[in-house]
Amino acid sequence: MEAIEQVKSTTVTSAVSSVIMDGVTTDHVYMLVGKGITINTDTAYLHTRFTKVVSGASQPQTAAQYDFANLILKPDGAFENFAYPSRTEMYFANSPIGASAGESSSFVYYLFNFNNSSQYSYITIEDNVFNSTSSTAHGSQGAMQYGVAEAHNGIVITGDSTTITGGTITLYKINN
Amino acid sequence: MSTILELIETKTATSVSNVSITNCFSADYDAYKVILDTIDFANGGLNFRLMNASGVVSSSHYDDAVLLMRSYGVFGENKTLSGTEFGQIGFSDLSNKGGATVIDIYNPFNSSLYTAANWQNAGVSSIGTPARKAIGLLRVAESHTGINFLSSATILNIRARVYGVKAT
Repeated sequence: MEAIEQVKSTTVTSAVSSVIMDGVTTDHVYMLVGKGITINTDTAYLHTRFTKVVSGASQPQTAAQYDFANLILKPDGAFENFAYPSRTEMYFANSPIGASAGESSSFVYYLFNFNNSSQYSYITIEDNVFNSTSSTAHGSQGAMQYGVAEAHNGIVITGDSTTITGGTITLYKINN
Repeated sequence: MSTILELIETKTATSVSNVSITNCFSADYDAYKVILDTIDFANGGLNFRLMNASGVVSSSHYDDAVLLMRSYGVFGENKTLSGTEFGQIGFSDLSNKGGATVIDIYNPFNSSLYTAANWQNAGVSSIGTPARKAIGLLRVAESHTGINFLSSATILNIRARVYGVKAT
């Protein structure tokens, strides 16, 4: 039996400030794949937060409970430790992102324990962005936890001083 | 060509020193994905070994390179040549807070090739996550049929699922 089940897919066709990828409703592990994500402001940033249902709507969680640890791989310099405790979000590859033709961001996240209200939520991180300063790829390899024992239903990708103008993000459930 | 994922087995265990999933590797697949969403210790780390038809492979042929990334401190490079197990693949010092590890295993059943593994993990700690990215190679060309998780600490709770990865 095929174990990967698509839950939700969003393709950005006009500028938006953020993309909420909710749809985590079970205790399964989920995989989130983003590809070809483009922005309209060169040197702006994208960041990730977790969402939960508040008053019937998916809301980004902004408490300073994001702990993450990544190694930034880059072809133009020394690899960089990108790790902090107690932050309010995590940035894509700790990078200013390019907005010219051909420049985009992609990622694969595995989402763990999101639906469990008594455990923390975790993601493992692999991303690849076009760094506008270096004019080449920078990418994170690492993981993140949100240290609040509550249920989360997905994540939100948000532009920091930019809109998101393109890309497709797809949420998959990995069935038991 | 597309790639599909097929569930082979789910294993859970409570208060054990090690746990095995036997006969989960076969000629049906060349690549496997092992996902653990529960790794629970009072304070401990998790390792793993491969199994063959005779049981757990514990000879000194495990090589690995683990990048340990701490959200709360310095990073570390943990490298082992000719070890007796792979790891760590997870850590917890917070009881019952979940777990997050993905292991990709290549060619375990092929008796002509060494068995390779890559893994990534978000660890569970009271002071922030210790994350891991790693590669490993078991330098024994034999058919491996299962996987064994172990720790020097008591594994309070563990849940692992083995999936076969198939191109169609």
